[in-house]
Amino acid sequence: MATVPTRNYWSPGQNPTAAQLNQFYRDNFTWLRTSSPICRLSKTTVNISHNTLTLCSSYTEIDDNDSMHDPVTNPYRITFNTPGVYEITVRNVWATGLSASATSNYQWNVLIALNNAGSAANAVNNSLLEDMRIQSAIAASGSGEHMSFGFTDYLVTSNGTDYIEMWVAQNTTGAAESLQGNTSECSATSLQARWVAAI
Amino acid sequence: MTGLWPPRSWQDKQGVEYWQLNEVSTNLDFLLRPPLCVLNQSSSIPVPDKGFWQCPNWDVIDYDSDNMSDGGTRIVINTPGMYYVRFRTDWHPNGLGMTVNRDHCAFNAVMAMNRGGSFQWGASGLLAADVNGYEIDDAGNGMPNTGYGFRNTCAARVRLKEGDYIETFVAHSGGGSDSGNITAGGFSTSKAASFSARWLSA
Repeated sequence: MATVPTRNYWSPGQNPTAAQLNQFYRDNFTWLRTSSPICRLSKTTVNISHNTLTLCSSYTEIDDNDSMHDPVTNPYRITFNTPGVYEITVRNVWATGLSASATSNYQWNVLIALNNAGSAANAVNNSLLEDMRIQSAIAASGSGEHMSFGFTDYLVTSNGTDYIEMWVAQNTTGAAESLQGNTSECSATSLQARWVAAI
Repeated sequence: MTGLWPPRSWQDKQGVEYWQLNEVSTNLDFLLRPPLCVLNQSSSIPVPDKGFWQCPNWDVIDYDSDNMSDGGTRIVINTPGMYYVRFRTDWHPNGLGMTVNRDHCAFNAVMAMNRGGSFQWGASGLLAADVNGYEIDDAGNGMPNTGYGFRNTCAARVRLKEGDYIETFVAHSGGGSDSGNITAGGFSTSKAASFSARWLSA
């Protein structure tokens, strides 16, 4: 867990030491500029089965300066280890095999859940933070269409014990649909969280 | 809450007084807890068919570093600056009472400033708007097979002065009948419905 800077106010006659000035000013401004918690994960391409709410995992860490992601234990989570307000950013691209003539009400979902404990049933209830959706009336303009959706600046507070997960689903023709991505910083599918304020 | 802007300049051979250091501490506090307000709702609300409806109950304060929430409909600006404001609805087709039985319905969300509780298209103060359209037959086909809700999200970066306030409005055409009967609908009780404002710069 990172340590949120402690501020200090001085009284008349109080003479701060060099160590105090370094702690309360030099180190605190350095923390704000370089050390506030951030976790950025990229995801490689994966096929998502028809009508199956799927918990995303197998992320590649781009940044993680506060042990917010563990590739072994609960690798599908970003955990907020430091109390604060966090900005969550999601990017998501699907490649669909639907043809231009597809007229049924197919859809693609991405859900962000808070403290969901890996449970699909809970992902649609009170743990839901975000539910993004595209329907075929918008998306299926051509065979092999790529469509993207995402959001930024979803703000959520944490006391330093919460976590988020990304879930995806699609209900097309029964075939798997491809969630696009790679291991780079510019992956089409990514999940990020950034500390933005103290609580 | 305000940081001290512009910061004072130091002079040659000037001693450092305690209050001068405290001013630096105040500015550091401001950077650690900039004006930021995140609101949610404790319960769903019914939204009548057609017409703009003000979201009345942003009653859950997730975070408010600058006394920006009025406890109900508004986020009020107390510190001037450039803000990122965002409004997200969370419409639920199942479980919360919404009945969608009209083909080709639309769901709108609007953020507006200094509107005094009412809004219509063409009015001043519009900051951002979002519309989602859905093709849904009378049997409800087209609703998510998994029962997930759907949403509007709108956001804007805008320069605001002290005393400005932001309000949220929604509208939908999904309910009742073509004669415009009132239908039930609403927001979830999760954090999925949110209204926020975040200070970006002076």
